[in-house]
Amino acid sequence: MKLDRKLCMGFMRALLTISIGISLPGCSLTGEAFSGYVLEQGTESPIEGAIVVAGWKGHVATWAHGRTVCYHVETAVTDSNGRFHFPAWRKDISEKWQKNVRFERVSVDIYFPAYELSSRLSEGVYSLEPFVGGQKKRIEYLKEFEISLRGCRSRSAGESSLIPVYRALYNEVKGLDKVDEAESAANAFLAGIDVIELGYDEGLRRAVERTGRNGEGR
Amino acid sequence: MKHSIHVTTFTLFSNLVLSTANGYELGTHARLTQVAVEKSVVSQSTLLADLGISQTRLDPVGNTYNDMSGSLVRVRQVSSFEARYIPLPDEEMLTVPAWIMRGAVREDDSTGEDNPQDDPFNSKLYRPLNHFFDPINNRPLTVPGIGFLDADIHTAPAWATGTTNDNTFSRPNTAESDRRNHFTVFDAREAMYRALSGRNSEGEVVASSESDRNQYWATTFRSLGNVVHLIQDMAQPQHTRNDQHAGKFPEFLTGHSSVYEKYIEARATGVELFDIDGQQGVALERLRYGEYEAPTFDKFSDFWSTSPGVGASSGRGLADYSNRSFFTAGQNLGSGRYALPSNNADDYTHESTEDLLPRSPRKRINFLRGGPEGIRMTTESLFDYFLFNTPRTYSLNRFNYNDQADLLVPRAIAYSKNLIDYFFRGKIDLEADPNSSGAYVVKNYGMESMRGAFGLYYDDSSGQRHLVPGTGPDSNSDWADLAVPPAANSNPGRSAPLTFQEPTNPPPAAPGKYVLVFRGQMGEEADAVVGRVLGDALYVLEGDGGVTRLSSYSNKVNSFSIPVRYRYLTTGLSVYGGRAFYSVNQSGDTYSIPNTLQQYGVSDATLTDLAVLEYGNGTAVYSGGLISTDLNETATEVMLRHFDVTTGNEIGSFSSNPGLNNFGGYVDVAANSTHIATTHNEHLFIYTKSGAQIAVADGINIATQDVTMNSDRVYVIDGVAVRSYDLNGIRQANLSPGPADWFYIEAIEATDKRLYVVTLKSFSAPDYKLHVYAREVERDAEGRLVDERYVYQKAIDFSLGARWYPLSIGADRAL
Repeated sequence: MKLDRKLCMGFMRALLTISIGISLPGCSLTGEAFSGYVLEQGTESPIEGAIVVAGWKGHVATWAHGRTVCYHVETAVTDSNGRFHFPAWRKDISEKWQKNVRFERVSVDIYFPAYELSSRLSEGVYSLEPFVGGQKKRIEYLKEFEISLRGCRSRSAGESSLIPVYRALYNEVKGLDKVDEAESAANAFLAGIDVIELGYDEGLRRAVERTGRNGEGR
Repeated sequence: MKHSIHVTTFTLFSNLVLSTANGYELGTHARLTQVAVEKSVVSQSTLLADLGISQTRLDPVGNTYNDMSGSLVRVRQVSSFEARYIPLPDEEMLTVPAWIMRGAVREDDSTGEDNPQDDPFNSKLYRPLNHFFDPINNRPLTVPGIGFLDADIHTAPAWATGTTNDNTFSRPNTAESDRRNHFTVFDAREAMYRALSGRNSEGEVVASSESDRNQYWATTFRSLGNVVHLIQDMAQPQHTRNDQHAGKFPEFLTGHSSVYEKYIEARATGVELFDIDGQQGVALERLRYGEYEAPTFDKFSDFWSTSPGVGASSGRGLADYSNRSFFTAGQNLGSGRYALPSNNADDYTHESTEDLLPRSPRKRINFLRGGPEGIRMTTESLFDYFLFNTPRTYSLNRFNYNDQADLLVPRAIAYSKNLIDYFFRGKIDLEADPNSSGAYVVKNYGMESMRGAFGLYYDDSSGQRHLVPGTGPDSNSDWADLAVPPAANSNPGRSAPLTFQEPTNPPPAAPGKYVLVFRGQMGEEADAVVGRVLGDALYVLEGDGGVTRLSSYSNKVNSFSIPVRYRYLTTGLSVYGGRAFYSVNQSGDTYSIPNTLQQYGVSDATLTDLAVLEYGNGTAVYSGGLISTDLNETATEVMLRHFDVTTGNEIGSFSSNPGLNNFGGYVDVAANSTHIATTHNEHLFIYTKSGAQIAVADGINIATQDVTMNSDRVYVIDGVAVRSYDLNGIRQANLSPGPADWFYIEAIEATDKRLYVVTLKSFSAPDYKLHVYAREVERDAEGRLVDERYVYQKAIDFSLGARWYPLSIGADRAL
């Protein structure tokens, strides 16, 4: 990191002498503070306790390639007014590719038991509505929700902030005991926690072992 | 519109002139690959079982793979990176489909990006530079100055197939030596050969243990994923129209980052609200995968282009199609680089539509419609791609992208699926030659001739794989250079007779169980590899135009079809140690008693009458004897009679639930089980072998039906489903019914590894069609039965004879 800072400073000094408007690679990643609200569709009542997942997405383009990468993720919980708040953040660049990040957007995913995202009413104001569908459909929805978070599941993005979401998903699905798929979904969310807390290899090993369908490659 | 700019430093010069590559984004590739694999032979056939790969383990080939470069091999590990993009639960991330998806994700690895920088051989490699292919000019990504970044950029087909740019279409069987891509078709073939045989192309032992061979299976599947990624990028027209889209400053030189790709990624990954075209929070619909039927080809390069050059305008490759059929952001109408689509605006139908933008409903968008499918090819715009105001220019927006995606995405999937199927197109078998005792013939079920080396391999008790002496490429025998014609008129091609000695040093873990491996010319492919695990013995007692026949539908050596005496009722087939036992009506074509209990040597055609039964319907043989159902003399009780298989002498009998009487019922006993299961009078009865009743379960659908059991489960037919019970008669699961075309289940048979289900598919006389489906019986590493909910259906791809009744199946319980 110290070496990166030196390179960052040296490069910046060199370019100050050339008056070309080039976006300079940064030495740190930052995100501005933002807030919003989560309301119930129709009644517009505030929803307290919803978990809001914010993923900072950027375009990373090297000379050969470019694509969207999630480089930072945080979660927040709505208060009694349905309000959530993400403070500004800043972190040092820890990997070389982060120097080439160009901010694109902040993706917002919202979880609340037995509810689903309905719409974005206005900038920063989201509405949820009660989930309609049986337990099987709810499990499908929760599994897709978890998969949508995966893009931000990396050490460099701060994946540990996703653990409260995984725990909440696990707790909800454990209560859905009338369908066979509930157990496999619960295992999937537990696996997510293991992968984050124990590392990928160990988390994956435990995930497969829990199913009983492992073996020495047979 | 691009501007030139003079700069003073080399670094800035290279920054400004180099353009960069970008295919579909990783989530899109993972999903396209997932759908393609689901439709392919990997998921829709017995391929994995034929290759000896478990379909029920979630980690069948482990968590490591090999990166091969010449004679060097480096072991690599799966990474959490791929898991970010693959839409599978974590516990499924080591399955075969997941391995293929991992390859599809990692094909976009690039130095300096967030992917793991773990290539052990290439310290600097920008793989995406090789993902372009202009079929009109037969050239890779061509941008001024790109040679500074990589002096040897390949076309996508060259990169995928492992050839040079010059050889891809003219000499496709010539591998590029020292190639930097180690996950090409050539590498997949070499890995597959090592996985099957444990040897490399030189015949050296490189992977004799099962775990070592599994690493090569993982390599095979990962490589296939890399290859299908390169086909999928051909469904991104910017990749076939040399249209750079880096998104790296300054973009008036390098091109905007691809809005199409980000938009498709959002639709593929289920983002619900997306900001696009100046509209915030646009609700997205999911990507439509469609049901496109791609053409089939007889060489790999055809998947990209069947006629590079001017012929590409009518070619059937995916690059041919996307190049001529769509405009791109940088090569839009009027750009003139390519003749197709037409650059004449008058060749299109003008469409002016309002009400497309929810927040500006009165705003009109002017499309130009055209092409074979009449899609919105482009949009008239006041601003060009770089937002410079010019007269009469065109741009693309999400409405154009939606129309493009509806055509391109299904094709990306279909071409990927067909490429996987083409890779695994070989299908071989080995059977005893009915015309020559002690000899065998190789059977070729494929549509291409084969010529090359065939080897038989077996595993010893420690899992090490050995070559059967006298077979294989260095055997100096017929096995080393064997020609097998293709299948014709639904019959497989057959080789000349071959012989071999059963191995003894070391002795095989399972006598009679082999892996047949081919390497050589198959059709146009000079270095094809095909494999098949032999030795799964399944026998069928079937009616065939009035003659009851015992047939083998397995690959076990020494199996063949034996006609037996005509009987009306011939049922209760049970097989053990190469001998088949069944009950047969003695009186010809009338429905009457008594029956004869017979045994038949499946390898030597010896037929022996064992005993006469009053009305035997079920037969079950195990290591300790033979049990048959029968009626007592007064036909008021169902009896279970116990015979010595050697002498046929009855050694005991007991009544199954006195007072009930409904034919002879069915019976089964597992090879090493202490229990007997029998069904009659719509009940399931479980006994010890001495006759003590353990359990009664009722509610068996319709009349008495077939029952089968293995070491710890009893399975009964229940209409179009199969029910399982434990040995205490407690119901465990309704195993899901099979495909929708099942009409009725006629017979079932279970071993500790598999459950076979014979279904009546067609009920139209005189052509009754039946199918045998096999599904894995799930066991964990300790051999304990695991949850039957995860059992999968796979069909053995053959039909039984024209007469469907009588019918019974049996798997050799000794294996």
